[in-house]
Amino acid sequence: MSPLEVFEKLGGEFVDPPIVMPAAQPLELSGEAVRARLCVFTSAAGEECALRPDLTLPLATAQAANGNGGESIKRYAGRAFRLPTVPGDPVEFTQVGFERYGAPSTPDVDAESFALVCEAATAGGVTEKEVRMGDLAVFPAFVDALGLAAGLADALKRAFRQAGGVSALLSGERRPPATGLASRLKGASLAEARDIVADIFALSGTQMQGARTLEEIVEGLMAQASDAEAESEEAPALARQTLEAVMAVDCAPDNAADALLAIARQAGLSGVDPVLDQLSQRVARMRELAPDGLTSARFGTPFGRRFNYYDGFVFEMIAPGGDLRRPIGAGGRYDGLIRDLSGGKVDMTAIGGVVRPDRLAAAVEVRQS
Amino acid sequence: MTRLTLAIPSKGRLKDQAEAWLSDCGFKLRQIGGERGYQAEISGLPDTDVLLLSAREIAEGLLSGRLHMGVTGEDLLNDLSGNLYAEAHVVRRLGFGGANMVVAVPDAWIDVSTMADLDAAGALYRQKHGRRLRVATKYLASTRRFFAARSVGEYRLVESAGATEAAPASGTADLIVDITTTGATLKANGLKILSDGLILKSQAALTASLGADWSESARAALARLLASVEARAAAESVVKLTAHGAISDDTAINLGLVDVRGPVAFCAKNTAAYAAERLCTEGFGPVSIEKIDFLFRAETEALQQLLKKI
Repeated sequence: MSPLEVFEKLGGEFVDPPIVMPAAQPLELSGEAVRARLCVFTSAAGEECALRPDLTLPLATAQAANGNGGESIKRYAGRAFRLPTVPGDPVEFTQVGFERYGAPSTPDVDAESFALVCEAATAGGVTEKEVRMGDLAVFPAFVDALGLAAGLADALKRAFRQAGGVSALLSGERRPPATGLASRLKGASLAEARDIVADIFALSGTQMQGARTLEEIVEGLMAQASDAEAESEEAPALARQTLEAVMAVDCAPDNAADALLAIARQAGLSGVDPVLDQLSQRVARMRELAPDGLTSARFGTPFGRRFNYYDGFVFEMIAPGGDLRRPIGAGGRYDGLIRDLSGGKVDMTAIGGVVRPDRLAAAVEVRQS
Repeated sequence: MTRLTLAIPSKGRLKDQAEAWLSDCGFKLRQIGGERGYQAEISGLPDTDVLLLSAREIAEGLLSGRLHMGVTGEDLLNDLSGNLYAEAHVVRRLGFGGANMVVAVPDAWIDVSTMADLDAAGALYRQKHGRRLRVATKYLASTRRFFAARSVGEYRLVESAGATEAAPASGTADLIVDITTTGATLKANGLKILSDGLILKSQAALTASLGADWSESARAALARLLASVEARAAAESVVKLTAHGAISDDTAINLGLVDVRGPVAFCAKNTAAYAAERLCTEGFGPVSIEKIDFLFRAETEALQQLLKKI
């Protein structure tokens, strides 16, 4: 059986979405950081276009446009394009994979998707695998449970996605709101605050520029004021210890939920239990469905954070002794993407997985030689 | 045999200052084809072609190896090169063309004074509009690196061709990354610099390409150029002391005098008066102090450093 035939067992539809997309799509979604990997060109009219960096994004875009329609499965074997970060990597390569929309967001579905990718890799000739996995819902759950000021909590969740971002943020000096004005607006309604700031701008001749509106600026200012008030002295110290411990969890998947639970208990946090239950159920189910995928596996909290739109279970696998930067298979959950792409009109869970036939073949060749 | 190619900025203050600096070092430029020509002859440097190019072209030429030497801004070198240390070598910062590369936002953004505030504002904006804030700049790579280092991801880049500082007013972007000397242009355009928004302090620098074809004749011309440049620079901080009678070794060491030969020695400018006074009390007076124009040494250290890399 080939990887393609393994995924066929899922049923659904075999598709080939457009190769060319507006560059704004991946850039707006993932930010400038992805530009370094993106094959971008400019049309004669000056419009920036990009070659699809994977098939997940164009398929999700189509799904967001087509609206809610119950559960569906898309399968593909198509070319994708990325500028290499590792010398010698091809710009153009094939991904064989599937995306599953609207299925319940459960540990069972996570484990099934993982098992399929394992099976596809085995079908491609790689029987033994080293797996790394994470769960991108864990860190935000801990941040929420810590009850931090809203602005700090949001900043931490954003910083999680950047290497070193969390510790940089937590070790940085916390500071009072940017202007004394923020504290003087305390108690004012948004409309009142807006009028006050508008008066100040009129007096000082300050001009509005760019796309941010006066309302947004005042909102930002008031958020800073309420953050400064909400923040107690001890909260950052406890938050720092807890979140640094959470970030440092790197262990066998079977121990991950317990390790995280111990950190939560130590900090006296409740509220992370549902996420940790999911994690432990998922690992148990993975052990039933794909024991071969767990023989050499690690769970790491920060793992997968550079996968921009993923927000739950994530995994990658390599052949034993292979290059971590060249996974043979990968996958994960991105329940929030279609909602974001459709501007909130379509809300659908989503999970997908792929293998790279070129890398599978290379791994087989390495083993034979 | 290749000749040495030396590029200097082709217009504006930078051109005038580069020309004045060269002339100070003893090399006179004469543009071929008058004021608008893009080649020049240089007196005192045989085997050298002088080209007048834009500062960006000079940086590109140095990085690609098309030029041997050039005077250009460190800002451009940093932005255009992914690995500046391996591609070019800054021989000497020249003390003119100074400018800061900064992140500037509209004055009206009273809720944004740091990079962290900017990220928070960007996130809120994206939540509301489904789009990212746009940053106009000519310095794409530097901006991307700086924003990533500050964990700021909530933005999109818009490449600016002309007056970047006008981009927020014209609506093509929301904030900018640009070069500023006094900040006056930013202020006039209703923009303020973020408190931790300094990306780079830059000045004009004499820079060598590490990828150029460094033939024997090019190296010979380089040695000639650097000997004068370094001699001129050394003379900035050193004066000549002439005492009455030969200065003893002990005295020279105590007073920090160097290159002592009989009654003549050299001394750092800021300690010269003290040394002269002490020499007088020790019986070497009268002592005169003279400014010097050049201080050539047998070995040019900057040249040796550069030769090790090419």
